[in-house]
Amino acid sequence: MKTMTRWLAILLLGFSSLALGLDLDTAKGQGLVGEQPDGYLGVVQATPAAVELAASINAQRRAAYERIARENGIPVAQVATLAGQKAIERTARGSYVRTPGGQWIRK
Amino acid sequence: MSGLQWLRRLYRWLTLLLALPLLAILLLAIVAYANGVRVQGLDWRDGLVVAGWQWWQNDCEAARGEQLRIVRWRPIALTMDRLTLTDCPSDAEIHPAPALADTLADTLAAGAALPWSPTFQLTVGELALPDWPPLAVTVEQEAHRWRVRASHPAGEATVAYDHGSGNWTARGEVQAEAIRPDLRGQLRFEGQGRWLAGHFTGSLQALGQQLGYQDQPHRADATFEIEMADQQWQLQAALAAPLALGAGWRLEAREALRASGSWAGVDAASLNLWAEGPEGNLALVLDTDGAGEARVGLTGQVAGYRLTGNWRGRIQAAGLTGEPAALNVAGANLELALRVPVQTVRAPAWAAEASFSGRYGNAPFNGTITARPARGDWQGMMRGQFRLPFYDQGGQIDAALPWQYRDGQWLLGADGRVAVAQGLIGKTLIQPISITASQPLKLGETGLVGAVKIDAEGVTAARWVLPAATGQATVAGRQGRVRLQVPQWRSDLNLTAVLDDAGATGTVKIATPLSAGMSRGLGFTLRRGQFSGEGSWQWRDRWRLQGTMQVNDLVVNWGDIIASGGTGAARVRLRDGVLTLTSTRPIALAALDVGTPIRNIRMGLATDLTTWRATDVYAEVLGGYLQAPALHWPSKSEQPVEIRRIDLAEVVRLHSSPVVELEGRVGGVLPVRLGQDFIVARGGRLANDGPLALRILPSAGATAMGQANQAVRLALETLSSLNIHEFQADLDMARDGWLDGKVTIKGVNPERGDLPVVFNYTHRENMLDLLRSLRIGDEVSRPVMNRQ
Repeated sequence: MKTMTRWLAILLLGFSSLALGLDLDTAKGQGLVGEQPDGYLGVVQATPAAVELAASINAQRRAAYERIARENGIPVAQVATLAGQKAIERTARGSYVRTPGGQWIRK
Repeated sequence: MSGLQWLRRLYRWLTLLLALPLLAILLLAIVAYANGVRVQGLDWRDGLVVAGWQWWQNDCEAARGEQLRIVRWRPIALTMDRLTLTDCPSDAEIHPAPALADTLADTLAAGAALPWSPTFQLTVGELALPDWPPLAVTVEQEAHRWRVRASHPAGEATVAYDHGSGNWTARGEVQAEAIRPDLRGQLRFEGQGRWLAGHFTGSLQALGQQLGYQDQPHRADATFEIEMADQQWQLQAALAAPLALGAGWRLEAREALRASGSWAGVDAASLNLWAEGPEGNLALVLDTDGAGEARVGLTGQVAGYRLTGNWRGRIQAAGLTGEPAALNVAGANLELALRVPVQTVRAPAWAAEASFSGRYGNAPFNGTITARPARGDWQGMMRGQFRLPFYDQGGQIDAALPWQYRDGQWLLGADGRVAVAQGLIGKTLIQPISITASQPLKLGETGLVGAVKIDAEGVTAARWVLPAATGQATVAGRQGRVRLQVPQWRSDLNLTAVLDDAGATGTVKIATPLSAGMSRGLGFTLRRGQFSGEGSWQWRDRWRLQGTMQVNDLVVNWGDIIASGGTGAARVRLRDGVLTLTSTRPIALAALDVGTPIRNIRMGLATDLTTWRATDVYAEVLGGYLQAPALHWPSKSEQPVEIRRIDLAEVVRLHSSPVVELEGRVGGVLPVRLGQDFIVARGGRLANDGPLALRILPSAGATAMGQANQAVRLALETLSSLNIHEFQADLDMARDGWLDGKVTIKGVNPERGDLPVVFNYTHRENMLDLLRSLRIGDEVSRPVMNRQ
């Protein structure tokens, strides 16, 4: 479990770096995308750039979740859910997050 | 002069006289050759016979004759089996020619410039002209009287002209079927007049009898009268009854057509037509004022669309002048405005360029259409911009379609291209799509017919991507067939579609290997497998789908849990946005490795991808098996799982260095609740399935503990060998995987004179860790040690 937590911390740090490169923070700030409980980015307001950005980051997240799941012997969904909780916790105020009921709300 | 000299001179003159005809023939041959005439097969069979001749103009064979015979020399009479005239590009198409009307006026003013010829008769068995049926033609001239007679099985015509007096006559009749195969009725015409230099007069009367279309009962007579004098003409035409136009349409002339003008154009015209058919009606009114300006009005209702059009300007032989012609179409979903500036509708190009704009539903469109005649056909280019109505953003269509009207057939030319720009449907991004026509598409009554090439750059959603696809589509009116390949996935998709008024229906067939790249949106990763499916689909504002699918040789993994050897077949149904799968035969997995190998798993399955309902679940594990009548996931209720004949020796063998020996089998029931991402067990009970045997194997750890503590040594000696006749375990497992077991063991120690032993202990174990670690032996031994 410690190993997985360590990986998740690195993963989230990586996403932050990616965010700087792919302008994820701007997209979140503009309310285009938001974090979801399932550990993946969701599209709040659809634009081509927002969908492309979400697809790109989610593909990288999926690969990372799978690697962590394999190394820790747990399902990918479990890793993703844990990462989703942490991502929502780290989301800045004013950005969108998705509730377990599927509603988009500003944090 | 001596007699000898005189004879010699006479001989020279005679030689020269004899050479002259030969020189003339040679000269004629040279001139003909220089003008492009080629001759083959000269022969003499009861007269001169030319097997074949051609007349070439600008590298084009303008005329070809076969079997030209001179059958009589005085007066000369010729026959020809066949004469073919080709429509070669004339100099007029290379260099601008004077207007046709001017040429006609000049020709009529100049009088008939017929060449001098001896009295002759030429009979052509078959004259082949472009766009004409084969005709038998006789041309004869005697004493400057010319006479041309053309005949066909469906009609004949005779024109006579006296070059001396200038009198001409024309008369003939033709079956309407010869003009168009679906027309019926007969046309007769008769005319007479005089044609001399600077003076052309005459009148022509034509009578159409019982005119109509083959599939329609309506027949009507029509009359046409034309008077020509001093470069002026007058026309009057009348329909005795509505005229059938085909496709159920009828044309009624509410007033007689009157028109007058000169060879330079129309000076005045009056027309009032009413067309009525199954789809609606149209009124066309044409009138001119005293200044020669024409006004055209069109109103009507066709197929539920309201049509209005108007134009004002001048109609001249050289072309049109005036305001742009306008046509507006309005209906429930369509608004179209067409504008045609007429300035370009002029000789010699007769080109037109129309602009159109409007909307279909909420989607606006606009574009241009050009048209120009080309060697008897029409061709042009349509360029348009349109947005697909079911795209929420983007999806602009940019079309560039060359078109042609040839031999009564509309064609969308090769290299036509329709490009659909990137766009969004909901939150799904449709990448650009390109459709090109490699061969001309035919446009008929049923719509487009032909094949196109499709290049789609893919589809992107937040959780999944469909890679680029290429393929071919064939369309035949409202039916279509598409074959697409996704090279990156080696997938093959076949789709058929039939459009109807309410939407579309069709079939779909897909075959693809399964790979990790397809798993981006899934909670598991596809490693291997083969998927195939087929079914029918329907679009009625929403998608509907039903069919069957099969999966073979499936390997997937969830983290380090690997399932392999999966096979299954299911019915697929998509309705109201919900996709459901129902197995048609048991879903089977050869092996599921969750740390403890589980084999021969099979079950029935039904799911809407949110809830999964398994039935008749069976799996072999640890030498025994488990089964459940039904397991629903996720579920809030407890569902019993029956566990039978678990071999304890198999349990021990999971450990590479076992510290105990176990024999016998256990079984029981484990009520489980399958949550979204957890499993809870409550009230589970396992019991021995026959006698059990337990023996603690010597180990350094156990020996050390025994030496350190007397009580432990006593307990180990007591439990070191047990024949167990009663084993009972009550089990509960929380959602975090911790299992609490209360175990009661009753037996005897055969090594201590069958000393009765009753052993109660509680056991706490994290099953998730246990399944992963495979260290069951250690975990079992530790509580035993810790019991002290």
